[in-house]
Amino acid sequence: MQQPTETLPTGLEARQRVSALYQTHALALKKLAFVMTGDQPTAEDIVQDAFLGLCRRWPSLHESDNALGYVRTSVLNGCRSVHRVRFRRQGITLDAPEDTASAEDLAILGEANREVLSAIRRLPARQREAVVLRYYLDMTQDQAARAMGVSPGTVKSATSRGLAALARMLKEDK
Amino acid sequence: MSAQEPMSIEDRVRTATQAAATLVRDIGPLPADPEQAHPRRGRGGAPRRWISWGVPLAAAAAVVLLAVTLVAVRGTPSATTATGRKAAPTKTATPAPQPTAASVPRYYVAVDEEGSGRSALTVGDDVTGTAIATVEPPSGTIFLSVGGAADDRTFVVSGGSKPDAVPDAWYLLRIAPGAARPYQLATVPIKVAGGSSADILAYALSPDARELAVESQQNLFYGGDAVTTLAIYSTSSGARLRAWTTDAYSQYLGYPGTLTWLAGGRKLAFSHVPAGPGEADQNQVRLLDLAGGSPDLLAASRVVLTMPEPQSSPSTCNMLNLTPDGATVICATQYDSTGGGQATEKGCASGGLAFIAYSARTGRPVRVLDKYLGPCTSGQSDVLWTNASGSVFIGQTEINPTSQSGKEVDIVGAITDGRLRPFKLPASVTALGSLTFAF
Repeated sequence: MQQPTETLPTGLEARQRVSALYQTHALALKKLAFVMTGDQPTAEDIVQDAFLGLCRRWPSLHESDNALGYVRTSVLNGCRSVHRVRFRRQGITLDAPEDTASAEDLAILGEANREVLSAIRRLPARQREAVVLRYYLDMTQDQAARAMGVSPGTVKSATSRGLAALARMLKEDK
Repeated sequence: MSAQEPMSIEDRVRTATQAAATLVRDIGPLPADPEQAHPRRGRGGAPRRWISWGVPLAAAAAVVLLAVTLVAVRGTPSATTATGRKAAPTKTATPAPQPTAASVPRYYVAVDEEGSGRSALTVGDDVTGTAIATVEPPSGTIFLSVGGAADDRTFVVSGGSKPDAVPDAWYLLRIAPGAARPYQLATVPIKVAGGSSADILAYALSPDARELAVESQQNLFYGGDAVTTLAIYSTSSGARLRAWTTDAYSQYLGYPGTLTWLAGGRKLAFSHVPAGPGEADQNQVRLLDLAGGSPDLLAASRVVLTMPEPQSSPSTCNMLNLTPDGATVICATQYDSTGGGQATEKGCASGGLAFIAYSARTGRPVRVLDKYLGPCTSGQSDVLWTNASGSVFIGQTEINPTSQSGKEVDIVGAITDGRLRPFKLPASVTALGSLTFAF
């Protein structure tokens, strides 16, 4: 993994700490962003933007232990933005993973999984986030609420509605 | 689990997402220069530091059924404007008056958001359709957003070092149409609470342009509580005159366009989304009496209206505006699939995009002020200005096209009783919205 270079303007400590966080967590966050968006270059952009934001904010972070939470929430925001823009600009729902996946990837995923992922990406933002945080990252309701910046009750209702919507969509897609 | 037993939906989600994650095998190095890593990507880029501004709000009010069941007070039967708005049959014997040029602000300021890292302001005349002046930003600064005062001559403009920056520069723009020098731009030395670690949620210039109300929130990501501050600053000295705080905000921060001055500058309306344990968020419009003694934002204010989160409607409130007389809340809707429910072309074209008046006294919807009835797949509406009662307002509707109708359309104009007077705008004015287009 290449280290951030000396041009980062945020000081030695910031470079070292952010670099360490990037090495440890960036791939997992890119996976999260890919699950949300279905596009690897976009997912990578979102994650790197989030870490660069962390670099810039580092001097004013009150608790460096909060950095991972900051980055994760930034990634969620970035994914939300991508979905919103796609919807508004294209006037359609969301790109399915088939658009960007290779033939090999498609084979790995399998048709059933592709259907589920496509349905997840058609969910409203909050429901999508709640479902993915709860069942992909296996977060508790409280952890997901913290990541999303909402109450646990909202996570509970968003998850419930999201699962119901998924079940409906997958049934309709049959 | 037997071979015949179907997987639960939860297990299907787990299986599919884990399978998708295996496709991501590496990530490139972190770019070295944060400022140049990802040049401005326009609307597709990372979210601005203006939380929720121009963003479809997940917590909003279901309005589709409302839009089709309420009486829409409209103009001439079957009239169709050049913008595609089709008037519904009127319920009144006397045709409703057209909004006259004299009843709405004539001058506007628009931020050019589509430029490449350098955003000028266009000062325009909505009657003649001409641009009066172009205001270039000071060196090293980009204009980010704009708001207007009540005199149709004074505007406040925020600026920053880059498009996604937290605004750290404020200007008063005074225009003088017809004068040899048609504008003056003066720096306002305001330092918003929290500095660069705070997000600015909303701001509003007082009717006399002497004070600026700014709602900001300590960023959640810096640890501690997300303290929100509503402060009033002097536009002449930059001094903070008064402030109220609360730590009761969630990340979903409601409606920035709600921040408005009322009662001649003695009260402020603002939006609040309680982060309580309820099953659904409740979006509140609150009214703060500036004469009150409590420094607690919620204790010093009262709820005017509460909007429930929609269960399944694609038509939701994009903005909530309390009219200056305090009697009406105008909900400008958005129509898409982001808030709940699936958007359809039929639903969009059947009043999914509308301006709906709610009674501040009863909290109940009372009238559809206007609705878009042309072809669309999705879109959103904003209220850019309203008179004291809301009987005349300036609305903007962004319409995403159907496959047949072609390109995205923006409709901007003055609306009275369902009748629209579209504004003429120069071609250079493209960034239409509550942040970048002010009267």
